[in-house]
Amino acid sequence: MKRTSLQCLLCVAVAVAVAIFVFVLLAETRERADTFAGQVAAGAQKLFASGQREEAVAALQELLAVSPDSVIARRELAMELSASGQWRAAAEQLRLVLKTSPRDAGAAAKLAEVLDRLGDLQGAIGYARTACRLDPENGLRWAALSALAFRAGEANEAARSGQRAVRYAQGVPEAHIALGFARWLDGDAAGAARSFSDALALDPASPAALDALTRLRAHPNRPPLRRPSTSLESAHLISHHLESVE
Amino acid sequence: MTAGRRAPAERSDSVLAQTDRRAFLLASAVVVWITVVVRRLVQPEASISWTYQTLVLCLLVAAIAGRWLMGERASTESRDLAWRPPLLWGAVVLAAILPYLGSVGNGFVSDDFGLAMIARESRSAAEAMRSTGLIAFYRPVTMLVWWLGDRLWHGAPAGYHLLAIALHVANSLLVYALGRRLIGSSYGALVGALLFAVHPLHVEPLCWPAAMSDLLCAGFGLASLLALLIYHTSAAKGGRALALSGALISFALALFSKEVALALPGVVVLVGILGGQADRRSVAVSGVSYVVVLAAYLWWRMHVLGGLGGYALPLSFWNTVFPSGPLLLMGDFLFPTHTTLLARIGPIGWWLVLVAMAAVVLWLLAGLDRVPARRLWLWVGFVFVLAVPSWTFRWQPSASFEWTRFAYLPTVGLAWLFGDVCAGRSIGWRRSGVATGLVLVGCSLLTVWYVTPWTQAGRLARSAVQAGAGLVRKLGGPDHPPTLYVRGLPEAYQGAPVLANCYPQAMNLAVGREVPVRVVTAAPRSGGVHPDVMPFWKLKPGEYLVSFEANTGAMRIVRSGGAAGTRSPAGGQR
Repeated sequence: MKRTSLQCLLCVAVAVAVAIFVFVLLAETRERADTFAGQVAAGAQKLFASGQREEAVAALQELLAVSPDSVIARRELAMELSASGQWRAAAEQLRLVLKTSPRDAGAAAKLAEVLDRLGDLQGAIGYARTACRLDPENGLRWAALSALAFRAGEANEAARSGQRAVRYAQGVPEAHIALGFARWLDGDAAGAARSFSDALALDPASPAALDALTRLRAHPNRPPLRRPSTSLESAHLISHHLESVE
Repeated sequence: MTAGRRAPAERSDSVLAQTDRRAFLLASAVVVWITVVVRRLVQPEASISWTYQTLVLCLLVAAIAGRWLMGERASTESRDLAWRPPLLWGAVVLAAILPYLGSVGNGFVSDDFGLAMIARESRSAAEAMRSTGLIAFYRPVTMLVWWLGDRLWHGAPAGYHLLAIALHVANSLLVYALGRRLIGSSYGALVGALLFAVHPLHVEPLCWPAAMSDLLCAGFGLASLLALLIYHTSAAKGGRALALSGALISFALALFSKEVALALPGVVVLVGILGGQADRRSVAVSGVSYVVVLAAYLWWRMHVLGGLGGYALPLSFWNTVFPSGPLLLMGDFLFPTHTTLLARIGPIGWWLVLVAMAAVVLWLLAGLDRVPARRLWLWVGFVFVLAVPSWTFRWQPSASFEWTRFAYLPTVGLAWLFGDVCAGRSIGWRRSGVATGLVLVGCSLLTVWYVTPWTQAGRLARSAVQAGAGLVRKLGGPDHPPTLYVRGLPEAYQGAPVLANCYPQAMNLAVGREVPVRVVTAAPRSGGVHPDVMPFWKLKPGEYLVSFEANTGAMRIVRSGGAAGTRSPAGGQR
């Protein structure tokens, strides 16, 4: 190899190293900003917990005005907006969080819940699927997906997710209830009764399981679904989406 | 060099050579310095960790270009030490033992409990050897060692730690014996073996009995290479056949110890071509023989496991690790900085360590022209070829020296490279010897220090298991053991695993019977419960959610399955 080529090779190695160094320094600066944002977010959480909701949101919005890339602050803001019932603003913030931090299972699950509140059931199912993909060992995520799929009338997905919910959260009554509803939707009344009984075995006073069993006895063939409604916090609220037995 | 610049021949060449040398040293100094600074800055969890291996790649490119610019100044003189063999061997043995004496009383951590449980439950050596370990692995030699440990010293952890040190001693001696033949200098071989013996990158396989498979695999692999070199150089026909048989048997044993040996046939070809001691026929015969043994091993493995086994890796994973494995390995070898530990000595101490490491690497780079090109390719090729299987084992960049057990065998090539450079510099060997001695002492001290997290990890694991076992005895009777959902178990302590796996097996071993235990953790684990799920989990009578408190070593009951579930400590009745 020619001497000049070798010298060029040396220069390239140095140039790449210097470029990486600059990149790392910039990333480090950003990381320090994130640490600061984390502290502000923790402070906002305390404000929110003490009932000072507006102050908490204002503090986070102020931080985001200075540092718009702060995922921590944006996530916290979204959670607080959601807790205050400002669904549209929360959804907007959560979408931004997922844009910069697409592996955040918690944000995806929250966005699914918020979209459900806004009446976008298919959008909610999409984000619930994302949350399950990112956090597959969390049975509650599968239970939520199963509940959403049930309400959308997607029997296969509801059953599949319900089975996973029970697999990863077999000690949680809501997981069995979600599977029970999925089986009911699939026409398997006996299987549904078994699932509701499993839930009752775990929590004999579970109103959701008792309610579901009563409704199952009244409509053993298929669950009488209402139009998709806008309130779902967790699987145990599923029964609220069924028409009343009376 | 260009012909036009050569006019006043000798003087011009000499000036150009000096300029090239200076340019190379300056360039490599910049890259080395940036590499250590980035090593200091980048945290193990950072998403920018790919930068580190890219920097090592820059360093490699600079080294290749610089070596080419500097040319070769290797001397043909023999650099042998006047030391007698017992002294040479004794130095290697001591270097391999002393840094690890503190690890003998460390106890078991993580996977150790699972392997000990398999060994305990196996009724015969054959049953243990048939076991596929904790996941779909097939390592009969390793499992036989675990079974023997259970029968010979009743599975006491100290026995396995002592065995690991003994294996490391044997491996270091093999590194010396092989280096003596490949470098052709007892001084170079000794330095290589000493560096291998004391290098802090080898703390994980030495302190973790579950990683003994790496020590066994390296031992059989190096023995196989030694027998191969004897085969290449032996004149007697019978001796050659015997040596080749020994090499192949050792290779098979290495394969049955750990899958890292899969790449050994590549090294066999490299040693045959670049070792300079074999004719083409010998290289062809040995290469084909190794491939036949490898094929037979793979067939048998698939027959036993019903597939290749190992970790199930998606194709996308290969795209992310394919080029980075050997670079990470080389980077960790050149800059063995345990970020978590070094952070404890303050910024000035940190920077002093980094400056020392940078100086050693520069010293090594400046001496590359003393190593013949053939051997240089052999050492680098050794690392790259043997690092191939480690790519399949999810080797990730880490500043706390996790997963470095996969570096144990490949880094032999880098130890030889260091020894070769030292041998080349040993014309004024007193000065070179002092520098080498400082490097070795520095490495030994780092090793002794890097062993300490393993000691603490062993203590934590022991206290968690003892606390859990105590609670089981208190809460349950002999026929009705309570079901424990355990949270707060320390997964790792400063890079050393504590109870990332196998807590149920540890409890079974401690209690002496099967105890239903489930670990509350977000990490994917068979039988584990996600921490987000646990608050909604309804406990049945006889079930307890308990929390381990590492500070006090106590296991606290957080909630139980109702009043009816409370068992009396004496009778175990509800």
